[in-house]
Amino acid sequence: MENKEFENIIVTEGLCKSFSVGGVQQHVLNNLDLQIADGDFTVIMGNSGSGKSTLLYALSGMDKPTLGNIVFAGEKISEYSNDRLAKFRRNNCGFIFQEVFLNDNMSVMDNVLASGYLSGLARKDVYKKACEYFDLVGIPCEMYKKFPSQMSGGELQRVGLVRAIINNPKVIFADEPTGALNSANSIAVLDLMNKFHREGKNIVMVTHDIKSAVRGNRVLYLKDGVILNEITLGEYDKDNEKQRLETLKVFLDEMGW
Amino acid sequence: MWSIIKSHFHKGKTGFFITGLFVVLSVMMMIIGLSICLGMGGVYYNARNLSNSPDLAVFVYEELNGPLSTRMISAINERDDIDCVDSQPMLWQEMPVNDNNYQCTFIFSEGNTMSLKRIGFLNIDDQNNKFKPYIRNQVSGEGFKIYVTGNYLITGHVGDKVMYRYNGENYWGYVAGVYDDMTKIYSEVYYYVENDFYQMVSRNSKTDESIVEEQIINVHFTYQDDAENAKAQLECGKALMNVANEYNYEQVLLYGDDAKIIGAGYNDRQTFKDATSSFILILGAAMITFSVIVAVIVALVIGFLVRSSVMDEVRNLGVFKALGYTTDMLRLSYLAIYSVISGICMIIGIILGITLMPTFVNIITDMARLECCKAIGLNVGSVFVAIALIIAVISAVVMLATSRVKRVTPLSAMRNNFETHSFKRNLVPLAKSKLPVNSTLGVKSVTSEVNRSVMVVIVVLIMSLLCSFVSVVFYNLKVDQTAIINMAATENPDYIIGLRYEDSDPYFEAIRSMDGYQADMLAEVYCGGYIGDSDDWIRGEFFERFDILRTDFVYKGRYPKHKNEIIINEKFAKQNGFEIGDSFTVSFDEFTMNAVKNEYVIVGYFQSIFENCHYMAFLDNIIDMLPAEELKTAPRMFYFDKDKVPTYDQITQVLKKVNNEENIHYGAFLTGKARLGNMILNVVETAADAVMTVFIAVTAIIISLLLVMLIKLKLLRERRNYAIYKALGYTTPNIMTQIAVAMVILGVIGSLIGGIVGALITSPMLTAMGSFIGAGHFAFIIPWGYVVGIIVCIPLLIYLVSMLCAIPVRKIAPATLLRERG
Repeated sequence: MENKEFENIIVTEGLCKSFSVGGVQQHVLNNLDLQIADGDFTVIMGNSGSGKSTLLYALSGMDKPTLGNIVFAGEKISEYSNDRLAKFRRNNCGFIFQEVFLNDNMSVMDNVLASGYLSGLARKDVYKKACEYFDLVGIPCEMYKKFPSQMSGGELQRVGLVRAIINNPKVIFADEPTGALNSANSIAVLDLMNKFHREGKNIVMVTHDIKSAVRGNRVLYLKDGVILNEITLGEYDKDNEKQRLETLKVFLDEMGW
Repeated sequence: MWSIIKSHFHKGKTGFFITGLFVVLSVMMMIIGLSICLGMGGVYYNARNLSNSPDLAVFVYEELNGPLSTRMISAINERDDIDCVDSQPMLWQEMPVNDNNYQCTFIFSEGNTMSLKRIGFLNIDDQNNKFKPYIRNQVSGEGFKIYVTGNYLITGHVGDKVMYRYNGENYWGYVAGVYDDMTKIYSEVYYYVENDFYQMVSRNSKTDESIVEEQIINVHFTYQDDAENAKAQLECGKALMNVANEYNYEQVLLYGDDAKIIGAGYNDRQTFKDATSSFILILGAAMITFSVIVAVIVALVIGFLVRSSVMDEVRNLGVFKALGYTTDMLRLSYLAIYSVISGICMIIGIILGITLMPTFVNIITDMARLECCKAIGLNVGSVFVAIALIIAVISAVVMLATSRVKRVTPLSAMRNNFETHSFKRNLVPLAKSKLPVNSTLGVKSVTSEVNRSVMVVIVVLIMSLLCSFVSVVFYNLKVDQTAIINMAATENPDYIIGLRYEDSDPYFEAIRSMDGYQADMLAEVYCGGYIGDSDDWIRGEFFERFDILRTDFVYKGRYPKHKNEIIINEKFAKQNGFEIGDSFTVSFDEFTMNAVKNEYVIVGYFQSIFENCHYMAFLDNIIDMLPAEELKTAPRMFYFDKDKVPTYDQITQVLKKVNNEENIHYGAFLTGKARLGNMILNVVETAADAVMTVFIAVTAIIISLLLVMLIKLKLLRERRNYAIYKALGYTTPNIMTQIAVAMVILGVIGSLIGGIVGALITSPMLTAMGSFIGAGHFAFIIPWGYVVGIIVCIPLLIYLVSMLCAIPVRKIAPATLLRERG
């Protein structure tokens, strides 16, 4: 894989996204300019309907903007066809969803390999890597053959994490990754995300949860499709979590959270 | 509860549409098929009124009102079940094929011609004929009018020109119309002509020995019931043959060697019915079978749709149960929706069945070449049977498929699943697969959706089995007719040559001296006799030798090697309690076979659907048994080396040199294929094309419709998974390939099993079906090339249709679906 270094891994210019709801045009993203620096753990917050998920999907190339440009790792993906975008996502994006969205008819290992085999690496290496990641997130090998319906929510989200990183993506996109988890599982998942970030992964996370948001080093606040403001929290450390939380609360209060 | 129905309807719109289509097809085919089968009896009864043909026609080879026919008419009039009787004269003319001075040639509109070697003339203007046929398709033209049976329409048309040349003088006429005849052998050459023409031929008969006056005694019985009428036909026919035997015996006693023996024979409506109704019944039976097969497919599809719906709606069903709805109420909601849909479709099917019935009747009429087949009408009972079949299928399948509703509890609603434990097994682990990823995911989809997979395999299996069955039949009817020829026990030499000379031997010797000559023997030496002292008649065919036969028609036992050995039809053997090794006596015809009574040992079975299976073939000292006159005119079969078969012209030239003649007087000059063609192949070859085309089209349509339904349903149910796949980087073609691979795998399994089984069971199945018409042994050649073609083409079709149906995958936008979920 090509390993170019970029100052900004993602850059948007005049990003607009509109939907037609019941015949009425709704402008969810309005002329949004954004730069996400390489190495950031970016958190996107905002009220419901502010356009957080829409922005996340647009940035990840899962959705095409109505207007504007998105440059991802030096490639202007806003001009790509759907299939080219799909191919682009294989090696550049990893996804973590609130509901995990594993295929119920496949074992957890197959769910991960179905993604990993798209990387183009040798299958043996992919399998080896999957085992390593499973080990890293605390999924023992006797669970590889299990189906999603046979696992707990926390375990599933960890499988989701492995699926997200198996292709060594440039950016991991997480949409409310802890939304369906209890406190202990949330912490475990967030710890893993911080670990991946420390190891060099870019992360863009949408969340409603302030405890999750403090894990990022940059928090954007979205309102009516524009970035109202942002705050930089610096690198996360368990020791400074309380202080970060306070800072973030003040910031969010100011934003009308 | 409405919400379940609504959701079920929403998810299964295509399924409902296709199920409905199958219901329409099944009901329609059932109505038409049953109406045809049940209407056959009526055809032959109504045919009397539609064609004005007799129940029994007795052929007496003497002039009108001769002594034998007078005696026969008296015997007929003594019966108390006679509605009407009359006798009509007929002129029978032998027409030398190669003598330019004598010809009767039909000139078809496209320029082809057909010359007759013998022709029977009947007088359409005979006022005494109570059985004057009704003429249809009448046209006007120039010259004398000639009326033909429907059989003529295989190759000719109404309006064709006819040239009758007698003693070098030409008479021109035209085919002026068509008539139906139930009792005179309709495939033979009986033509009605106008009085003027008939009288001209009659005048010629006074001075020309090749034109003989014969007569036909037509009988109509009072019985309305088909079975009673058939019994009377047989009884009266046999009684009249006894009258003929008694008359001839008296003549021999009176005049010794100078006795004038008069030949006689008869045909009855029942024999004709047996001969023609079998293929119409098979057609009707095929339609009923097809209807049942479609009903089975309906059952499979509904079963699948209902089971899928129950699985999808566990949450709602559980909530309804929590609210107090009972299992029966919920199951009835499914039954209600399918009842409404199938009710509507049944009405459409009935309307279509009634509307298309005349079209099918026309097809049958064309195939049978009998206008009387138009008497087949809608059978009201068939409508009820079709309705009952569909109601039974739908009720049983819906109740069976909804049995899982019993297991739904409010707890299931909470879990959104029936099971408290998952017993899923990963049969195709990605880590172990060597296939490309998309193919592996396709294979996984096969193993993870067992219900769907089983349904697809069964449907493809049934359809490829049918296709394979039809292709084997097609091949044997159309491409390589060896098996049919063997079945019909008709020998297929290079030439059958009959000559009309006082001494034909020098001519035959000349042919024997030709390059490539292999062998020859007497041909078509027909005879007949009674079994022992009974009145059970059997038709026999004498063979000088069996070792040179090209047609291998003995399928059990062996060919006769000694003169007291005989092979017989297996059906006939069973009817008479005979087995191979048994012996029986044949009392040969008292006059044509010198009243020989011989005992024969049965050494083998063959089959012939002719003569109601009363058929035998044997070796014997036939020269002693047959009158010398008969032997002199008997044609001979000639066999040549495969690559040295002479042409017609070469044979004619050789024969001309014997006595330096300008023209050769042939009595018969036909090849084996042509003989068989005259009998059956013309009809079946035409039908084979149509049936093969229809079956291939129907198979393609049914499989395609099924795929459309399944893939649309799959896209609906699996759109979330496909959205995730797309998010992970799978492209639209990748997902389309996964879907197509899954279907192709099922198609290969189904078509492989169905294709091979279909090919292998064709002969046994036909044997079972054909045993009732005396064709109890089918040994069709299996065209493995065709079977492989089916096995390859069906999965190819599945691949193409699947790819086309999967195109909407491109509309699945991951972001949109994930946003909806969020």
